[in-house]
Amino acid sequence: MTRTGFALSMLALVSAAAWAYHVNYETAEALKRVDALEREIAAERERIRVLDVEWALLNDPARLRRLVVANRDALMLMPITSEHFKEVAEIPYPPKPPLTARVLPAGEVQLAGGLPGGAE
Amino acid sequence: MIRPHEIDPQSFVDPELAPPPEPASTGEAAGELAPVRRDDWRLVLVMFVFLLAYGALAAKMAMAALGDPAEPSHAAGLHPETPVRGAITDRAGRLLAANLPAWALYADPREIRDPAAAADALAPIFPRLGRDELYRRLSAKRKFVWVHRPVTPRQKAAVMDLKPAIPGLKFGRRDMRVYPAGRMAAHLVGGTKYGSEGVNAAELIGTAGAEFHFDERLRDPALRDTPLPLSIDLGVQAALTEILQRGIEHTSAKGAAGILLDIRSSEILALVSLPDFNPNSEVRSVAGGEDNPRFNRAIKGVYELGSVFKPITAAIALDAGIAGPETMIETGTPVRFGRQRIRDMHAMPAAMTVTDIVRRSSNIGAARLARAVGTRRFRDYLDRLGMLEPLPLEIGEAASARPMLPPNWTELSTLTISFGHGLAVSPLHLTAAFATIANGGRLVVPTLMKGGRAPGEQVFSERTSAQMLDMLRAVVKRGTGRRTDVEGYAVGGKTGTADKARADGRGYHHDRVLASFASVFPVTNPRYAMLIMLDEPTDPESGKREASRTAVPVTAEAIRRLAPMLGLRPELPPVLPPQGTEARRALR
Repeated sequence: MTRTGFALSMLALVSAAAWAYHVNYETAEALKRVDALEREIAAERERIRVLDVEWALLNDPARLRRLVVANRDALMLMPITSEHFKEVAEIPYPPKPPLTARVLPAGEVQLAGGLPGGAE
Repeated sequence: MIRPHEIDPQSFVDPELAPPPEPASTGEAAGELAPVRRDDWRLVLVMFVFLLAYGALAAKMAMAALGDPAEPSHAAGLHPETPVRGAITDRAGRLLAANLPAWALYADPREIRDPAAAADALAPIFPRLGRDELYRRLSAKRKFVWVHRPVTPRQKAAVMDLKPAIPGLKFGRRDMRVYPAGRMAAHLVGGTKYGSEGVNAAELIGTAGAEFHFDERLRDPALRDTPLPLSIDLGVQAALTEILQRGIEHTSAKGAAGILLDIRSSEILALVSLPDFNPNSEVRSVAGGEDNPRFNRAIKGVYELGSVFKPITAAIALDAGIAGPETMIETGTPVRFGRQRIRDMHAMPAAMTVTDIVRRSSNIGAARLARAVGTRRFRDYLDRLGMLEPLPLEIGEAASARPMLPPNWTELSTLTISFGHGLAVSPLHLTAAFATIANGGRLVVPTLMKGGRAPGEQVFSERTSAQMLDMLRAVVKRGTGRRTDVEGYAVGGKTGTADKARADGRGYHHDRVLASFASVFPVTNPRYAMLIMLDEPTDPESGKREASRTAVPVTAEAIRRLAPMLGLRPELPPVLPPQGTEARRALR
């Protein structure tokens, strides 16, 4: 009884030691990984900071202004003024597309475009 | 301490001893063996030695296992990513000041074999230093010299590409302060310099503007990752700068200042001083006063601004119960004080209402109102308005912008201050006073902090405020400010044209003026106060210098541009188009 008890406790001791050893190494490995990740995060953060500055430089109001002037024909942008505010009622409806009719193979007539006297 | 190899266990063990002591022998085993043979004390000793040795080993292992294995790598400084100084942004989070990782170039002159050749090679890369200075540094009899800092990545690449390579040159990490918005808000943001420095890092210390005022906040390690937002709106700032620039060109002015203040929150949305400077390229001192582009006219300059002061006088008179907006005041005869007489520039009717005194800008009327208020009460109101002290604005220069008071405040001082002479304040002081008048009389103390601050004490009554808004509106509708009557926005304001004081302190120039226009809009529900000031302008069409032809048209243009940007809808009667073609064209 004492012999088996001794053997069992020895086994338990050895397995516990092995387990502790294993965990210890795993922890060290994990810490190394954390360290590498932290460094990666730091590098990414720095990249973000640099890109933020670059974004801000590209959006410098003076630069945007130069670009708007240089591309006036393509962009047709102008400063917003009080004249650009309008009431919805002031905006007319778009002109109706011309009424077209098409005869489907089944003999039905399909209408497209504005209906005369249609709801607005 | 006894270590296993100091005592060789084999030399103690008798060869006839059949079972050699197991290394894993325990205390129990030792106790069992000891009494067996009397002369086996050696065995006990050996076991004791082994026990000690293994015990020490186990203790060492336990310590190694229990300790924090990550500690050394963290201590080695492998994480230089935290910026040494936090960023500054505008109210929408657009960067005004930020850090870029850069480098510092240093050298060990003992390793440089040919300093002259090295200086020749480096001179084109660092033009600001010059070849001779480089040679002086590289040939120094020391182990360490700074060659150049900061070094941009491009400069670093150029140094690395040098053929033949120069031995002894080394790079250290260094943060570099950049101002992505360039000239915009350069006066407010300020600047930095390097503080104490090591090879791989250096402090950045604020020297001016918000960088100086918020220096501790920006360097606080806990807050470095959180940008500091200012109340400035970069878009509005840019538009105001552009408008003032055009105003300067049109009127051939020497400089200009523009301020836009949110009345309700006391936030400064835009503050421009022209000429301005590029904080990224120019490193210049603030010496030279007003003619230095670094001089901030809107905050640091104190001026006698002239007639723009009259609404303040009128507000004091109304609030003190001296007069109402329709009270008739005698304006036909000059105001006498001893041998001095105060007159008007143009002939005025024999008597005018207070509203007309402001509308037609009568010096006599303003002086009579101030005399009726009395010097002590007048001065007390100005004090409560904050006109006699520097503003507590969050930039380094604000504290030095002390208003210039008459050395001896007599009744004559009160009379001249009533129309804006004898008391020199910064344009921001005046804008704040107008904001206070428009803010139902509650004190507005301008701030650069996003979020603003709650209005302060009640300086004027609500009633005075409402009456003053009507008066300021009358100036724009039927007075000197007619050219700011922007369609759709109910603007109220007051012009001011002041002869500039001579630099030598002997009287005034007669051909140089400061033209300003202080405005509040919309008067129906005041939201913004604005001040535009032009330094020595002339209207090219009429040759006149009056504010009504210089500062007023610039203000009109500014309101036309800025009000929509601020989200103010114009109050226009809707024009219903017959077919809408016109409206559509306008929208396109």
